[in-house]
Amino acid sequence: MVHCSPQRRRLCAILIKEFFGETVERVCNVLTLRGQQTLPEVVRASKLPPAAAPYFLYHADTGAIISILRRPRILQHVQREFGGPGDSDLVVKIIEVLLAHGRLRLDQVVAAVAARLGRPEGEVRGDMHARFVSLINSRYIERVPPADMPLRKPAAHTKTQERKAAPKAGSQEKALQEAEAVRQLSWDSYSAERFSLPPDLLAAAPEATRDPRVAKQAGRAKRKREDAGNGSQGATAQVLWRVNLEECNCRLRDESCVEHVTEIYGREPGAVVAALLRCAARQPGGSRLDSGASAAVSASASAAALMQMRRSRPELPSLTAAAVSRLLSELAKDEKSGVAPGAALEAFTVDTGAICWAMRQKHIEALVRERFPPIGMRVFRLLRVKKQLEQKQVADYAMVPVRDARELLYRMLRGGFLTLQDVPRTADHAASRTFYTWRVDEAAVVRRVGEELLQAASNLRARLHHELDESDEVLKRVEADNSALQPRDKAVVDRVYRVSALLDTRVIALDPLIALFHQN
Amino acid sequence: MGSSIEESILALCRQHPEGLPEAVLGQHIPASQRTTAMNNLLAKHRLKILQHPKDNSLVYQEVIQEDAAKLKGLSAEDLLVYQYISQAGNNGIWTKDLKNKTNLQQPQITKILKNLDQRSLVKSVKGVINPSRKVYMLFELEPARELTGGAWYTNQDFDAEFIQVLQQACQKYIDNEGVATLEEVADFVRTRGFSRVELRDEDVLCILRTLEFDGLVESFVSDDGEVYRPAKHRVPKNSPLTSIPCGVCPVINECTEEGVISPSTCTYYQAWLEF
Repeated sequence: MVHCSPQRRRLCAILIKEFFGETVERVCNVLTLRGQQTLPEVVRASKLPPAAAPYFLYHADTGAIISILRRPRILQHVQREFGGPGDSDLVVKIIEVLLAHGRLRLDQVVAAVAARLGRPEGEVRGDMHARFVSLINSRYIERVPPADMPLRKPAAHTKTQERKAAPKAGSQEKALQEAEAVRQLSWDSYSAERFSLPPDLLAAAPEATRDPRVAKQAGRAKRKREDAGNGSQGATAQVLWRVNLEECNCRLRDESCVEHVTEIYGREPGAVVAALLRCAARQPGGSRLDSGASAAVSASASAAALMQMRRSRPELPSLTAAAVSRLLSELAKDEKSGVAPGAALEAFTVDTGAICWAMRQKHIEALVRERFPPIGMRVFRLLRVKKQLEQKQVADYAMVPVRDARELLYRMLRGGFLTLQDVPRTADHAASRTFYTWRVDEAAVVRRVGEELLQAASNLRARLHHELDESDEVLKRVEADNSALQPRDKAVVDRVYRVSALLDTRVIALDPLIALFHQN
Repeated sequence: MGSSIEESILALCRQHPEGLPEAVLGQHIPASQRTTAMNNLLAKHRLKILQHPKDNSLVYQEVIQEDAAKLKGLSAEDLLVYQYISQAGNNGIWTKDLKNKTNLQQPQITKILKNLDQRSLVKSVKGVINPSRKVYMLFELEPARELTGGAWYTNQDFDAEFIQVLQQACQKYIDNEGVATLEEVADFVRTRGFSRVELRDEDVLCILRTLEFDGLVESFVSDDGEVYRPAKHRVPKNSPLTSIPCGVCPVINECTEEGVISPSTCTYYQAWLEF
């Protein structure tokens, strides 16, 4: 079974090789190519000695691999969310450690953070607990799911099927249904404890950082701990934690949506949408990548959230509840804004799906404008609006000579941005008796641009490795002794620094687009 | 005697400008009396016989004096061709269609058309849709918009520069005004005299639609109907993908790690990194 596209596979392989070495890359290649595999299958396909293999898992989470590129953005986001550089330093270090190591117990996190800060563990532990709890409460950190938990089923994009009769016992449908039920049960069980705090950590959390809904839980935990003495300490020590990439992706997506709204409607509407999204993310199940619209939030709650956000981000505008309500109402009147009135009075939702769609279209159009002559974008947008047109109609609407339109349409077809459909008038499909219509297959274009983004990121990394390999000898000499360098070598070193900085920056700049085009 | 009957027939024709029906003529002048007079009038090109479009009955019409002078000396075949060209109006008629309708041979038609052309009775026009196909119409007629291509064609050539000038003017007007209706933009274009040809509202609408597809203006429905304003959702000048060589690479599909085209040996990358 082909698990992912060649572009995705290649980027995963490059990143894994860069961060974990060639052996892991071989295993990753097997898993991304073949999907879920048993251990003997992995060993056989990767041609590794059996002794090297037991440390590897049997499924490659390509989304998580690609999110290696997203680490700088995640750290920046956390730093912004948790105050200035001084206050957020510890929080950033926790996330940094968890991103680097994948999954750790609390004591391991403490040790790693202490090592990075160069401070004693005992001192760090005291400062860290409250921040760790805060990160769990805001869902940036989650418990690692059980190793035997079935994979989550990808979100379906097909139309909802009509209700069918219940499948017969023993049929394949029935087996699939039961497997799905088991998967759901397993996920429900994990969801229940995903963000729950171990008793001693809960009791240690200061009142200020505590989520109101877990206050009761804290009380119960304290009593339980008193009853059981130190019995619960063992449970805490065994819990593994990891960064909740889904939440991070959601937060980064929300930030992108806010940037989009700010760019079009201005600073104040952007801040209001940011506050609304912040409130919606706090609601249970309100922050999912595959959910189209956010949860409904009242204008007053958004105003309160904005006030709260201003504490860590003073650059945000100060708005009264009435002003927030007015801005949300104005945005809701514009269909393209993505803000819509909710079911309850004075409540609003943000359709992040629609905003992301608009952002994707914007980037696709920018790409079309760069790759084709100036009228390319006109023709592309025209066909998106009019759905299907013949060549002559395209020329007439776009006001270009038929010859130019024909040339452009075929270029865009070759580039994968347009689709040609034939509508035969007779059964023999003769060209002279067939209508040829042009259209934009939006899903295919999004998929194609998404794959090109992955390929571009792979190419940037590959070029960086090539540049470093080319100057390897000089760089080794620099590491050994800087003073022995000739002026020519210095020029090489300067060039490598400049080139690697440029290539690194471009990969980081590509990441928001990769996230936008590969949300699921 | 003959001349008075001729005058009577012409007077009756004047009373029926849409064509004098045979039955009406028979009520006033018996058939036995009018035969010679009719033949004389037809020979002098003072009278023409037409078919009524509804019931295909014969009707008579007086030929205007000037037209009669123009058509003087033309043979019956010449007149037949002339009549079909006249019927085609300002859309013109193709020689092949003339051949089918008149049942004349092509060389004969060519000769007749040359004769009519020399006497400035008809003219040939090339259409924008089929530039190789010549159509004929009466000399004094202005070719139809479908034939000339309307305002967007100059001498059968698509006038891209003119369209660009109009686009720029319309965009500037909308940018300055903030919000404008189609009528306002059309009035502005007409008063500035950008075009020798009268631009209709539909023509200006075509220009505005192209601006909309270019992402420069956007339309929305207000109390005044459909209005145009500068686009809020502008397409960015570049994106992170277009600012790297892969974003605009024409051979990205052939690019592989070990292939002839590869990121390690890419000349686009070389030029970009050295810049």
